[in-house]
Amino acid sequence: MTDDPTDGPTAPTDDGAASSGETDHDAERARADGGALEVADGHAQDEHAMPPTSSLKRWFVTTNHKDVGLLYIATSLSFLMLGGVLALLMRAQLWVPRAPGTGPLSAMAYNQAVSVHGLVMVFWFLSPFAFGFANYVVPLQMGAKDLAFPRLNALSYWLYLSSGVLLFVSFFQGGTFAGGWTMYAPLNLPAFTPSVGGSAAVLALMLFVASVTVSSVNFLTTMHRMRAEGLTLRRLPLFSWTILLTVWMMLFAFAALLAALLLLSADRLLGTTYFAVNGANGALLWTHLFWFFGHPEVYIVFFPALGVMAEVFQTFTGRRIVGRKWFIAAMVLVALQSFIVWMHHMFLTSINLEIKTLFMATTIGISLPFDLMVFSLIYTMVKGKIRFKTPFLFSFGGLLLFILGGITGVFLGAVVLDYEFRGTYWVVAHFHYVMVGGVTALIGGLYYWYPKMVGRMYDEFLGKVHFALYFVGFNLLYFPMFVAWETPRRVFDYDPGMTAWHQMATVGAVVLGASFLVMIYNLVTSAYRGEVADEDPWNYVTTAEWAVSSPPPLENFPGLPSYARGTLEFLGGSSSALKTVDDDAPAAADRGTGAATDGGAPATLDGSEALAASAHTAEEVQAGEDHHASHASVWPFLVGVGALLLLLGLSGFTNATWSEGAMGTAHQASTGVGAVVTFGALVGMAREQFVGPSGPYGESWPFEKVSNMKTGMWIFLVSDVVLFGAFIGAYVFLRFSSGWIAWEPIPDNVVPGLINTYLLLTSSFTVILALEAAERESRGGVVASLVATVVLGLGFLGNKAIEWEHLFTDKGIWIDSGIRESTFFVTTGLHAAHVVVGLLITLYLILRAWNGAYLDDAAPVEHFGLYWHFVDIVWLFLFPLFYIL
Amino acid sequence: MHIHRFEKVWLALALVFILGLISTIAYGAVGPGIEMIDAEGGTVDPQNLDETEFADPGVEQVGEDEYEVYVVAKQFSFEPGTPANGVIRVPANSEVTFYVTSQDVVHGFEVVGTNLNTMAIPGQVSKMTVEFGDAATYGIVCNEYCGAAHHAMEGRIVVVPESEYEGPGATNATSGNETTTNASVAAAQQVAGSATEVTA
Repeated sequence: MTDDPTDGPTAPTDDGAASSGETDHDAERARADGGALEVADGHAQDEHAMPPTSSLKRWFVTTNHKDVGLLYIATSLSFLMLGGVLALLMRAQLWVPRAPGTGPLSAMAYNQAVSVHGLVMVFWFLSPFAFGFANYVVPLQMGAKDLAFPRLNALSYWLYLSSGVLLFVSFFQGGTFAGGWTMYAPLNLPAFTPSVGGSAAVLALMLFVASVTVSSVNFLTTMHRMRAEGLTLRRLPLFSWTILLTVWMMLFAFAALLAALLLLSADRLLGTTYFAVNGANGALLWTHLFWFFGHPEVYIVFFPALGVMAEVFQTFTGRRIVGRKWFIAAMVLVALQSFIVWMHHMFLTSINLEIKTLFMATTIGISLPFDLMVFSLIYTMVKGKIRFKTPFLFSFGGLLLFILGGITGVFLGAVVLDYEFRGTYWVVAHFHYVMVGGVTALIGGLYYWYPKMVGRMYDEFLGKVHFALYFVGFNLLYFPMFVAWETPRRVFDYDPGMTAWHQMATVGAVVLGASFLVMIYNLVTSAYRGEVADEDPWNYVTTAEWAVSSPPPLENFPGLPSYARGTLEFLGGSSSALKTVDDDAPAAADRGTGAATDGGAPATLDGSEALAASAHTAEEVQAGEDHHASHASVWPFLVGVGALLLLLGLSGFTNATWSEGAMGTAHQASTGVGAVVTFGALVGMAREQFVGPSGPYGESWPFEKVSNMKTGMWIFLVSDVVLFGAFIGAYVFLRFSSGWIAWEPIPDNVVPGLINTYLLLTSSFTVILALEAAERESRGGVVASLVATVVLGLGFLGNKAIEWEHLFTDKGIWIDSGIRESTFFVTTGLHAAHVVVGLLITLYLILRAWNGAYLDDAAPVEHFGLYWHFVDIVWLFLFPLFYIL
Repeated sequence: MHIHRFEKVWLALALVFILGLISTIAYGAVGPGIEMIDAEGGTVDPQNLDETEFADPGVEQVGEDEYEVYVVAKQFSFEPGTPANGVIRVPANSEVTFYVTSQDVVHGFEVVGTNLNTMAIPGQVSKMTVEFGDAATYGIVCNEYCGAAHHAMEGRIVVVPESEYEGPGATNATSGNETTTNASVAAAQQVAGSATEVTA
């Protein structure tokens, strides 16, 4: 919330930088919003001294995007190991058809292995692996020194690691979740999956989603606000484009999953009955919520792989991608369309045929833009001159596997065929070809960026050995599943006639797993013995990460990056003539000299000449040189620790009771300690003096005149809109299922709700007064208005407490009395939790306002106001829905 | 307070989105969309199946060559269907309407080797009409993961020659060819491709 005290002044200029995409630049154009920087106060400097990479401490306090990227990659590869070991256990069990209880895994152990293998690979490996690259590469490609909110970036990582640790621990809490990765209701409830570990796994996934949400807000703000001058969205490198679309999809899709998981946690922990058998259509509600998230998730994990393919294809064919504009348009189309295909996962439910037909059409339609992308990649190869290095082999292999996976998926998209294939190994083989096909390309990305990250080359021969083993192992593992497709999914028992195919698959699994040992040996030894890599080891590159040393310096660039003249230049520092990927620019390879002519070759440019072409003033550049940003904060790590303890403790709370005996006490203690640590770390983070990266750097379309913090707040609120939308949607869905009319509102009296509506509306007004007072520089006015807000908010909560007390005692209902009660208490409870958070922030604002803050810069009050008004608007929806209708 | 144009657009889009989300689900619920109320299969209270037509699930003759079969899926069997509960027996050349529901978690009801396949969802009744041709034996499997003994949840439909059919009352007699799980799945595969017509 307070991550960005350094945001530049946003005084309007004549036209900003929105139109600077083309070649002619008006050098005289005044820019007041670009690159203005605040000099950090000396006090903050010492606290944020950055330990060297050899120091263990650095990795706990770093907020630098490159360090966080490396942490993501290392951690996600550890989860690949975990998921891989589970997969090998399953393949061992499937060596021959066995009776339950024989073989390496018991029946329940097999079910846990299947469930957690799916969860780990989809959530804890695939996206974080891709986001390791995104963290490392995207700021470099954009010309930013770091992400907009570096501490939030570190926080995302630590929440991710905590969630993964919690998932791992869940195995030892009486068995982890065993209901399949789709967690269908009502099997996901304690009535059917009662273990503490089951709750822990659900909470772990919820924490993971929180991490993703923080990350999405951060990336979206960064990518829209902090691109280098001249780097319009049209010119943005393709990997960055895929990440941009991925985070947009994440923002919406993961909010829906967060809603589903919050409801599920309420059911598991508090005993509400959203998904219970005695509810109304809870099972169908879960499938809707889950797959509304679940299908975009397919593209969320695949898009970064597509971005890697695009970059690697360009580099190793020495050619700009064919039809770049259309490639981007196709991706945008897929990102939008991904939200209207989810019901193809529900063809076997009682949805009627018209709707199914519609979703069949959208599903099959979504393959068309992918066709365009595949053809574009193939045509790039045809027109280019291919160098078969390891990254290219993996990317090309990934493309082939994806084509096969995609085509077999179209079968499943057709309603009638789905009736045949549903629940068989055809599905298993299909999505592994798509998902692991994506992983293949990402492995290519790991080899591609390895010299940039490590500063040394990997061993090319071992890389090719890895590819050979990987590709053979992959196909040996998954292709037999198409042949043996009649094997039912998630079952260890199968027709003995298919034994040979399953044994082939098991052999393939071992080969695939072993190939990663080659990779790890290669990457670890090369880090010490590999040939030293210069800034551009590939000789043909089009993106900015190759214009700086390997690995890049802490603040990335030797000067302020600018593409104002069509090539990358560093204002105020040495320059590098790297061509932008401009739609109108001729591709490097077309100039006849092939590879080794273009990017990265440093060109000595006259500094003043370059500066003249830029809209940046010399003062701005100078300020950029003097700027000393913070790069270290221990608070994100501590928030992660607190969240882990808190959720670990809460997992022992089932149906509103703590588990028995000493374990129950331990769970309660863990919850208490976790809550205190989390809260304390958040306060510490808020109070810390942290100088984030300055910015914007030039291109901020479409948010030129909205500060980073405000942009971030709006983006966060969008995800909150989806969250509340899903809660309200769930309520409406369940109420229709029970018969809308037959469902009476829970409160027998609308008056408390009405009073609360007035209280909240008035409190919105007092927040506006606080902003006005801050702009008038009236300290007393700010404090008084904020105190009034707190009083009104407490009035709201107090009134609600009285109302709930009345419902609990006088009417004798409880949150688990029925679905009607559950929806009322959970939905309005979520809103009340938002009010509580808002009041805590208000108290913090009051303390600071008392000391004279906000008088020269009212922005924090304004940003808080956005949140508070949003909370009020939500109540305006909840009040009629839950009190009147 | 100045509100930027983009913020206004953003706000409007957010509101449209929330309304859109609600209206799609509302439309799905009451419109011609998701069959929940008054849909063809209809809904039941999964905790009070005893008070519905699922109280005594089994085969009923409703016309000359028309039969209705009520099936309750539960952890971890079909009633009828799983041999312990009595397999489903219908005569050859008959038109059979299945009504399938679940009394606990989500199950699958897939007649192996045919495209007769549905989810059995608690609270929902799946209705499917099928024409059976010649005498054959079909395996039923649950293809929605449903818990610890999911792998063991299977059943059988025996289509007997018309001359040998003894009426719905004989349902509870087992078919006499009980074998292991694997063998029954294999047997069902032999009849894969037999003409079944799903009109659900």
